[in-house]
Amino acid sequence: MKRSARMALVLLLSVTTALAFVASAYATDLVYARPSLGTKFLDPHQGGNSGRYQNLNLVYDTLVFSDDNGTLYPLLAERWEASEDYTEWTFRLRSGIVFHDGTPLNAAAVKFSFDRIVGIGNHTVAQWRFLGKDSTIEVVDNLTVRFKLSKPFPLFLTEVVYACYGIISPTAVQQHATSADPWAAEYFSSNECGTGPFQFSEFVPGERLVLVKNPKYWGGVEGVKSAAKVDRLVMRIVPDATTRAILLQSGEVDIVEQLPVDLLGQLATVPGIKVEYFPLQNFASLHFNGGKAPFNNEKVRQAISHAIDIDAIINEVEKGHVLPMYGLATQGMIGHDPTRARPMYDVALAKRLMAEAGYPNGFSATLIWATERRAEFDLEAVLIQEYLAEIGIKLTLQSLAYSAQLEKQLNADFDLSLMTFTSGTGDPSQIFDKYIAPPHPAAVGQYSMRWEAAPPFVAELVEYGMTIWDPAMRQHLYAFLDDVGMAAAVSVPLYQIPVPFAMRDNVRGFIYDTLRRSCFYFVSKD
Amino acid sequence: MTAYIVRRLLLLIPTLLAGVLLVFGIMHLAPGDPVLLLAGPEADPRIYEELRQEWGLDKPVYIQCLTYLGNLVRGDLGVSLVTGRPVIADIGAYLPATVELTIFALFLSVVVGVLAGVLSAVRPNTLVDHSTRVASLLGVATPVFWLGLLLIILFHLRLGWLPGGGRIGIDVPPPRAITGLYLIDGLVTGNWTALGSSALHLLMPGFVLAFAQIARVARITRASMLGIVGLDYVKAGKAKGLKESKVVSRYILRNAWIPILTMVGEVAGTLLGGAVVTEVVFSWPGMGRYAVDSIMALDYKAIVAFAIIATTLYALMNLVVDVMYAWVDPRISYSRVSGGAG
Repeated sequence: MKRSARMALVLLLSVTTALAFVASAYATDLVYARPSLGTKFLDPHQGGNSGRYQNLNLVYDTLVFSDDNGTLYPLLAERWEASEDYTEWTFRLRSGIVFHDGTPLNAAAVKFSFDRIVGIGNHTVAQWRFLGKDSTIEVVDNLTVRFKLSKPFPLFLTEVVYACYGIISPTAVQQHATSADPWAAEYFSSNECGTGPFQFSEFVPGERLVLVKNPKYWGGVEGVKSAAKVDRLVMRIVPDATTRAILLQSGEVDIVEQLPVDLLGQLATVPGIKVEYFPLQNFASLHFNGGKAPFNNEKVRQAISHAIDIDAIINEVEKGHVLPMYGLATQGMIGHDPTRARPMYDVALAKRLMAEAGYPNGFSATLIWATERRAEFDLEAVLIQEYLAEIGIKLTLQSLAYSAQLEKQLNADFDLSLMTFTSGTGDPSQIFDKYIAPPHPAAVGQYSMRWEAAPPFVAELVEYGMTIWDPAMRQHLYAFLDDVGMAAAVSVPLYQIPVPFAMRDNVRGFIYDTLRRSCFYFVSKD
Repeated sequence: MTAYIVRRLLLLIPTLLAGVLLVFGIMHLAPGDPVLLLAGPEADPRIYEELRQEWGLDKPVYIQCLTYLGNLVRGDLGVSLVTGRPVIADIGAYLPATVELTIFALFLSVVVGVLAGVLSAVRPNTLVDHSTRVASLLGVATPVFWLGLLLIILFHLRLGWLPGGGRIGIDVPPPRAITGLYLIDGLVTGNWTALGSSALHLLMPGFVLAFAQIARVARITRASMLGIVGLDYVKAGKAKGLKESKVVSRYILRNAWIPILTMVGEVAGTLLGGAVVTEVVFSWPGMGRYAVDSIMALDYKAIVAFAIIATTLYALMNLVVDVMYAWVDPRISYSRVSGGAG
């Protein structure tokens, strides 16, 4: 009896071990590890941040697409035209495209998706939400759809390129809609159905999202979006950075994101692993509460910008993994001007500026930041405290939860703040509206982030920039605004943050950019 | 006994009420605004207003609390701000992972801990005793994340014997959900692949979680037994010529069970609330991670729901332990209580 029990145990153990290491059913598998999925990851039309594009662009297609230079490409829409006053936009769809559930893509499906965005109350797609309520969408014929907007919107095309305007299968929505949930928001928070290169396979909360190749993908656009090259993509949730690094080393995952600087340095030396950087329009900067003394004094701001040795921060803390900033426009953005002189580290000059401003003995202030936004801020805050002590500014350091930091900033209840800015669009209009423009009458809560004493022409130029299209003209306009803003030291840009990914060296063709995020459809494995 | 259990269960209601009020109060006092996180700092201020209205955050906190309690009575825990799913569905996905891990870790810590404690107590101040005590000290003193990473490096990266985290292999779909515990569901549905894979995934996090508890159980077993070893009836038993094993198991351990049981109950209650560090290191989709993620996002419905579930489980564990007292020690009885014990 005892013997047979022992035999059974041995048998069970060997069977389980054998089963656990059974070979994958898929020819090529790509496993990607990230710390979490974040807010409302699966449904394009529900809220959430641009981190969701990583998944949404794989499963959903938009009418139009654009690359990081702002060039537009036809995606689901094969061509389009706008009326002279930019209120009527007509799109002609490609024929023969089907959703993952077999529903054909037509004008009615496009109208349905745009109605769903308004109906579901998506808070990230503000432009269309406020516009869409008073606008009408007309199904002209099976493949032609016309938007009649309630007011002119010249940048309509650059708006609808975002994954949150992805076109969803109306059949799938209707199948899972209930009277309490007419847009099937609940079903689509754990399911997906679009026309993209990958289709939904499995979602295990807290554990993984699995997508498989869409064998019937319509083809995409050369160099912009293509059919998937791997058979299956597993997005694994691995919250701990060290665990992510270990899983990459053991080969259990192929690509890893969000690793701190020291781990990246270690991984770069491991054979079989490569680290690649993608310069996104993300940057870190030191903000002033410009509506409040002494930071409403231009000379004080200039003094601070000369008192901080930014190159030391870039080299010592960031170990050269980041890029220098020549203004607010980052590398790759319209308006970027690498010939502009950066504020020099000059303590004597800074002291003189402080004296001219009427603060020869300095003052006390508080610096806030959120470690969860960028771990390196902890060290950088201490350095900035030391630099500013040189010119008599006594800095109190206060590390907050990100939510608390945001609240303080929007209520203008802070002195200095370390922030990362992540551009969801890559277009300069957003950044310049936020940093250079004077307070907006509509944006009550945002005074602290804006340039209180901006000369009147600044507001006019920022406004004008949103209505023009010509890239050369916009380059001049934003470079000029950047000159004006930097001269007045409206904020101290610290460094641009390229996004690092560590991956196995048999992974080919991985691209990460602002709009598309991870282009997993280009990725293959040797 | 039944009356006692019913009375204790009824007591749970005011406990939960107090818990909900407390969590609501803390949430209200804590800095941060969920709406800013949801819409992001770049959003149109109209969006903030809309969101506040939609989620009822524009109302005074006591109204929010009363609305919540009203929904709670109808069994509605609300929808998560973060995942967009009903909170009850999210908890349904995360709680079984925690329960599975807890049961395994608890089993391991009781079996090994009691055994080590007994060995220590029977041979006090010998090599066996000293080594168990050193091991216990190590167990209490070792940081969980360090031990976890060390084990992953050894058994996953170097030896390749065990998976490096998660609850089940990426090629293995979870078994059809009956209890939500993969081991049991795998067994019941005859899904051997899922059973084997989830068993392998359970080993390391289960051990890490148990390691510190083994030490606690061993120490309390030892202390509790040493307090009894010298008593007269034990001496009498020995004098009678009973075998030592019988003296230890019947005379000493049986009487030493009460403090051990108390501690095990407490450990179980705590573990059921989720073990954040272990869950993070091993990518285990449990309640601890769910709670921390919800707190960072100020997802108040999820936080309150978590508090309710954790309180209930803790209270239930205590009740189970109290009932077991009577079973372990027949001198304890709840039926004749007239105001004392309870």
